[in-house]
Amino acid sequence: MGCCDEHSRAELIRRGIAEAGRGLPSIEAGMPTPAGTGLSRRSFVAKSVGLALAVYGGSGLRPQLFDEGIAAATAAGENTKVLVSVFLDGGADSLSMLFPADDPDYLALRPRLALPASSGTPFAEDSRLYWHPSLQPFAQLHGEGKVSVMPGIGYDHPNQSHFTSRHFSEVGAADERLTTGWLGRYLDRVGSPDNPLQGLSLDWSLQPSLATAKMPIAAIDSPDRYDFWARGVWGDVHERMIATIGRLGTLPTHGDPGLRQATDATRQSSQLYRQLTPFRGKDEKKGFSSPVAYPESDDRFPNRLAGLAAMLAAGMPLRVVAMSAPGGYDTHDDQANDLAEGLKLTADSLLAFQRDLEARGLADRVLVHVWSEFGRRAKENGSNGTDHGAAGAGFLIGSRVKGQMIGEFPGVKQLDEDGNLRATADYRGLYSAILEDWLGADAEAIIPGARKFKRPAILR
Amino acid sequence: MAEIPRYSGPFGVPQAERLLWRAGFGPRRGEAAQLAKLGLDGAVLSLTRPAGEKWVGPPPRDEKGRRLAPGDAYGHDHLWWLDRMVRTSRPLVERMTLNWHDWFATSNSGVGSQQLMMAQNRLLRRFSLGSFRKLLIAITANPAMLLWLSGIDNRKDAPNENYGRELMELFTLGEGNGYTERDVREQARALTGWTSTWKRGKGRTDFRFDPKRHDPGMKVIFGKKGTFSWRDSVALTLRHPKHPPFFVEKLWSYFVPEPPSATTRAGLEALYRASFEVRPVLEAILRHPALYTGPRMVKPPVVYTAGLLRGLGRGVDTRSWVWLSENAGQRLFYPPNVAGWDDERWLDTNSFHGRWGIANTALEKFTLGDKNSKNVKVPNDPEAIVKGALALLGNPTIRPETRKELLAFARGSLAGATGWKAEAYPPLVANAVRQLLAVSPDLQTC
Amino acid sequence: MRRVLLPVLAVALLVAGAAPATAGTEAVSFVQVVEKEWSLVMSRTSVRAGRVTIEAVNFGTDAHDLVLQSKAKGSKPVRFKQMDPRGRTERTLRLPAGRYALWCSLPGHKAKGMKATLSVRG
Repeated sequence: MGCCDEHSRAELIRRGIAEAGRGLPSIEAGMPTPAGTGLSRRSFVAKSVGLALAVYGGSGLRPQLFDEGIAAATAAGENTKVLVSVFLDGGADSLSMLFPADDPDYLALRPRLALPASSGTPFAEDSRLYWHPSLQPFAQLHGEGKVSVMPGIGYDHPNQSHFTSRHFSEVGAADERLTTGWLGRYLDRVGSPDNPLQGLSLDWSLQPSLATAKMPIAAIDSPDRYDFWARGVWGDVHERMIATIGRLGTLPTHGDPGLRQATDATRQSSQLYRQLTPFRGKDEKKGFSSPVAYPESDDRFPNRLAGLAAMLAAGMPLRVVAMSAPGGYDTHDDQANDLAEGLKLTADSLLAFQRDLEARGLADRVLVHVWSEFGRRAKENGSNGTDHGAAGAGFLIGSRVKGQMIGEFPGVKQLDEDGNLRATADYRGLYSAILEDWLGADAEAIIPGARKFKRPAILR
Repeated sequence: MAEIPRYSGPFGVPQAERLLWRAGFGPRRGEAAQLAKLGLDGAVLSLTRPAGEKWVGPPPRDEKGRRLAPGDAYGHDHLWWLDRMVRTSRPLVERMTLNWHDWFATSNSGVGSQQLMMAQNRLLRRFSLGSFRKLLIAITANPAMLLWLSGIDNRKDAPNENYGRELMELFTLGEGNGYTERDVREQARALTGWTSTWKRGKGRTDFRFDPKRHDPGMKVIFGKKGTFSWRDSVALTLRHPKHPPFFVEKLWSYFVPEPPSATTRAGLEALYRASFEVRPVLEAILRHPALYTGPRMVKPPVVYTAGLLRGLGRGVDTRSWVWLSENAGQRLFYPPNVAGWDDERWLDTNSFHGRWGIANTALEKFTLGDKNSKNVKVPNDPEAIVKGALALLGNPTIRPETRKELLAFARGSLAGATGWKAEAYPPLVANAVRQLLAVSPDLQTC
Repeated sequence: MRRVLLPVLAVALLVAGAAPATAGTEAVSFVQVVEKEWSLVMSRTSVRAGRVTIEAVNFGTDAHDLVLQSKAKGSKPVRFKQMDPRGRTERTLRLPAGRYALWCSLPGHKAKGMKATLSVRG
């Protein structure tokens, strides 16, 4: 999967942004409006860092000021703690990610999907559980004390609607009308008005959890947009062709506005092409090098993580970074292969990322939060898959995590009234702990009703 | 009354080209020369009073060779219309249909029926060069429009102002131009009564006016009192003194980028007021010096696409055009909102990339150096390569400086091409020159 | 390898057949099923027997899918892939004459009105 498949909700957000302020809304009543819809969107090339960005929100600052803001924040070299949020899109099956291989109820509920103990690695903190074979890298990091597992994270009286549940996870509250993401509200409190890199979506669209009310945030404009591939042209002829695009973009326009619009677009496109080197496809030369090897893939995820590590090493002023993991987790049919594939690339890439950070001496500054909008039903369906459930699994990964389970494994003997796994930890408590302990922010001001939620111990 | 200015300069191939790009979808090979022979008047009249339709070129298919089902298959609606733009011998009819699609912008995202959108398209074409009054009446009663702007939700006990507002704001008068919020409410009342029947599986059908749902009371619109109904709504906006200026300026803006002079404006308004017919106004615009001597306009994406295909002599044979056009910012039957497409923003870095893709796809059938073109020998000669690229694209008029850049590129690429490169490079260079030419600012504008 | 950017309605093409048909010898009819909360609206309610491409398009704000089943006894349902909003999916099937039920199989959707009947004429 990756960026170019049915990420239609992301597409809704993009359209919502495109249509902000004008004409009919693209999102009807009944579905919570994704946080961030309607945020203004401006393209902007951050020359100081060689990135083409789409900047969302922020006041009407001229994009040029962002360059200065980024430069200033980089120079200040604050070494803030960074949170990397990795989203498994679709509701990942927690009961496969950590599975109770020997439990007769599990075998009865999952006659075709149950995984055998021999395929997984035993989970050190609960002898009933085994890691999904694809999550062996997590098992390895867990052995080093670098993974805290949440085997049943969710909330009371879960809402069954897919989009509503996801919305709640993104806004950090059971509130359909909230339009800012929980991380966006964090940035509104501590961010600066001219540094769009403080909240960076390493995806071609905005992650709603980052959506702010005031501060600017950014998404990487898809590098695909800046490829100039032409059939039957390659090698240095191709290079020269690209250079000629630039030259056509500098021909005089003699005050003709139509010609100027075309000429400007031509010139800017060729500039963007040159400036986007760090994030182009894997065939292209990268603008950075990594001390470790990342998995080879057509999916951009490993490359994005590698680029992120390089950005952090270069001192870029990032605070919160959001991205989607590869794979599709809404596994209503034929779950086994899809889940295995997606999890494998995700886990292999995150292991490489952790090693990269360690090699660069950055590991103490970064916390990775892996999450999904809900888990899946305990009982499998008739299509070799599972349907939307409630509580699911999540992970915190990093050198500073406590490495202890947060909430116990809910088990499949006692399910909730809908037949779903019970939540043994509340996601809002986890968010509050991340905000307070890792990011040093006031959770009460960011997560509505934060005082009600128990804070798990997340750091060592 | 001062006369509307008339272009009196030479009417040669460059002028004929521009006319064909502004009033149509660009020339087929040789078409500009033929049109130039007719002189300005002959050329304009051949567009505004065309003979019967004669489709030119192969009929459309998708990439699987299937015939199009524009009312059913996703994307076939866009392709069907693109094909008309490519094959039509009545380009102004088709171009005005496109302009009306923008003027009365209705998106299938709100209608949910390709069949109804096709019916609206036929309506726009029927009245493309004729009576604006008849067009406005027909569009007010058009099912797709009734769904899009909530006409069928507008009832006497629950008025819905959507259509009433846009009728004035976007279709006839201009925002806040000569009407008040009260007029919007009263218009909504006058427009009540339209309804439809919901049939499971069929959706909304049997669109009709039902007097029982209409508010029969007295209304005051633009200071006039009457028990107005929907036809009166239309008539009142047409007779509003601010309508002819709005109409003239908006119609003009589809063809000429700078606003008309006061004399021109007065003359066009007078022409329009005489009959509320579109054709006479169009003829005056297409003869106007501003069209021939003024600055360029960026070609809308579908016009650019259709023009490439016309110039190349290629038909519609793939569904790729749907996504490519969308990337460039213009998916037919899905304008971004009721205000239509924004032509100030046709070209930015994102849509430039979309156009790059359009050009690349258009040219892909002519790629040199691959197995399809084994017998075509490309000379190791920069001048010949540039000439060949121009010829392939129908010999468009380009600026000398553009030609210089293309030549410099070809020369530079071939300069060091010795040994195996001497044979391998010319086709690569030729492919690149064609692509550069197709996306040059010269060919993005007209 | 050039990638094509995601269109407004994403494409997920599945061409499968209840019985494979010989290519190119027969005209294929299209039927589009527009799915919204809470209805299925077909671009046509009747189609000729033979190869039919049925395309489901999600114009709603929730996920939907499509199931098609002949009303003849003993028939098996044909399932289409689930679509997010703005998604679409299609299948080409060989349909003999008869009446076919179509519905969205997500919990509660059919009961709320997401169902329709397609006539296939002999």
